[in-house]
Amino acid sequence: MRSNPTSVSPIAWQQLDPNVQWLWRIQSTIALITFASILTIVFAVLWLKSSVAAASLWLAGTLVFLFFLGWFSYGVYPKHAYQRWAFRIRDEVLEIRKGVAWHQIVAIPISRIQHVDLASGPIERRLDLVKLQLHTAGTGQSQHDIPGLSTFRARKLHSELLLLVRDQVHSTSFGPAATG
Amino acid sequence: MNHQPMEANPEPSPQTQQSDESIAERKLHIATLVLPSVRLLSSSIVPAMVACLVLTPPVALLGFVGFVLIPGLMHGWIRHRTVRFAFSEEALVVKSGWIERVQREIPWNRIQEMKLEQPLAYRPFGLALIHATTAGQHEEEVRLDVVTMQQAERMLSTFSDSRPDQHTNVRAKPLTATADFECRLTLRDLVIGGMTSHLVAGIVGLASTLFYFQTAANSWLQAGDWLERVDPFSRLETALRRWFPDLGPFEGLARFLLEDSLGKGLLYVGFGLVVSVLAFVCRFYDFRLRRNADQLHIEHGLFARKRHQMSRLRLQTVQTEEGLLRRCFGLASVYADSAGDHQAQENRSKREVLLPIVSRSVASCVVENVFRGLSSENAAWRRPSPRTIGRGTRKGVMLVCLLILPVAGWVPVATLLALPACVVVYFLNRKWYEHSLYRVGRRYLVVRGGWLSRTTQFIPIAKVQNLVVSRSPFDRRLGLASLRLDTAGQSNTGGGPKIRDLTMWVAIRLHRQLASQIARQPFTW
Repeated sequence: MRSNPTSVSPIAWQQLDPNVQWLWRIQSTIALITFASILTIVFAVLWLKSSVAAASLWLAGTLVFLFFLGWFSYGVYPKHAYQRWAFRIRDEVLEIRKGVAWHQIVAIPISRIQHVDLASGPIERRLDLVKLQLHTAGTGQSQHDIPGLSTFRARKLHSELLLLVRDQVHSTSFGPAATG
Repeated sequence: MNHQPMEANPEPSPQTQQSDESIAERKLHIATLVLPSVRLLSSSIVPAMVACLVLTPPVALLGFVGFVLIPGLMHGWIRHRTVRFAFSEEALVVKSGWIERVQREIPWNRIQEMKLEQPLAYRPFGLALIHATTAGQHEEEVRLDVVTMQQAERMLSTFSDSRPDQHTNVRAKPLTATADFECRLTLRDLVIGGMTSHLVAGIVGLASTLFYFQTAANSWLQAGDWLERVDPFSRLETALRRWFPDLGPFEGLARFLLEDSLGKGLLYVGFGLVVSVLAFVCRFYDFRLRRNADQLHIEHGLFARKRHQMSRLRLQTVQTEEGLLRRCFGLASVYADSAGDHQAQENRSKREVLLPIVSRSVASCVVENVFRGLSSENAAWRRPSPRTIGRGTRKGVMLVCLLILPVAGWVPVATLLALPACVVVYFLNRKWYEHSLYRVGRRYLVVRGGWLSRTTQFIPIAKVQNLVVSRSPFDRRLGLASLRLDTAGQSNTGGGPKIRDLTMWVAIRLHRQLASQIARQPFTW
């Protein structure tokens, strides 16, 4: 399930690495296990302190809830989020398209990017994925992430963005003021 | 600004020991040992009183001394021993830290805003404290508490002088020179401002709630004796009768105010007005806003005197607010954010203000003075999609039904209220639509919203950092979208502008148009 860093037109939307679906599945599994552990503790307390009927009802409810949560976060969400997630560079603006229920299109003018980070956690490293973090001087949404890029593609995009930022700075008469 | 680790030696370095007084490295004033603790005392009165009520007074006092006063004094002593500051024409240098020494060098042209504050306790001694904010730190970059007034004045004038106009390369005129624009508030303005501030509404609301609960509890719980002891009106009446057994012609008025429910309500409103006016006058007494070239100077305060200084080129957003009362009288207040105002200010009363109260026409004149070229922009006002009326009405009608249905079980006549309520909902949504406007000019974006209380945001397009078009499942069904813009500072204006309920294609077109317009312009802090 490796993505190919194919040379695409800069205006076409570029999708994330398909491996990102596994990343989201693993992350949601970890969250589910944590959540299930909490529910189990509640079940144990009910078992000890209350009637068996109440505990059984709790267990049944929990199992049904966890089943649907697991089905959504394992089967539905990763597929739809992957289809929706995309980015492109168009007219010196980086556009990010994301969101399953709430659709969002974020536009970050290249000249407003303050710095670009590459970050990867242990699971991401295992899947050869890197998250690109873009920082602007904004207040409400100063950080924007592009998750699930292959290491090669992330590094390429990172250097492309930095080059574009540098070109923007040099093309303006204000020089260093443009990047603060 | 630079953050450089520094060796532990707090002695002045040879480079800093120069003949020019403004460059020499200095300690904070000796009053640093005491005055910050005095300020701490004044802000701890309420917690101390609560502690006295919960615990016994000696225990509360001991706890207060042990946990507040002594740590405060120690902190003051450490700050006096460790903080050093110096300034030249280029930068302000601050060295701080006890275990880990840090030298922070902040070029003047990276400082967004400088504030000189003179609390009441500092004024007799000619002392002040200085705050400076930059775009790099979420909290204030520098806080020099306590310095002499002369040092503070010199720092402020160096900040003003060393900031040439970024576009014309013209230095700001000295403070003493005639201002290009000046706005002063008279005592009458402040009284009107206090009477129309949110504080009145807050106090009236709180008082009404208290009054309601008191009356309700009195009738439901039959706890008359206890409530009468707590009731401020019965106490006031007792005191009044003790001092003035016969009020003569005012007897009827006194009885109305102290015994009648309406009278009690009016007394609460009157009390709220007095408190509000006093607070407003104390905070904004002798308010002056001046513009010298690109520098804005703001000065105000009766007991605690404050002076702010910033460049108008630094402003990220300016917002005019017309609350319900102020809108009735054609009044507005003006707020502004620089890139140094990172932290979201939850407490509305603590927001820094550009102009606390002014007539609507003067407010627009001030905004045009602050933003160059705004007056020459004559782009047409646009509205969101009219579909928003139907959508808002549907939501409102659903809410009305949810509220009325349970009541209808008890009182079937209540269902008759549903129809007029739905008409009101439609009317409110129509008014909301009519008063929601936006204007995209060559350099500025203006967003206006609200019918009963109105907010207008002015954003230089070059200062926008990023744009987000968002669509909820309901938006998608109606082909609508919202456009949100993010700017560098949002403490005082309460969040970036959002244009709601645009037609999808209008939102996308505006999103692309603004993004490419921003990308072509350089960003300067």
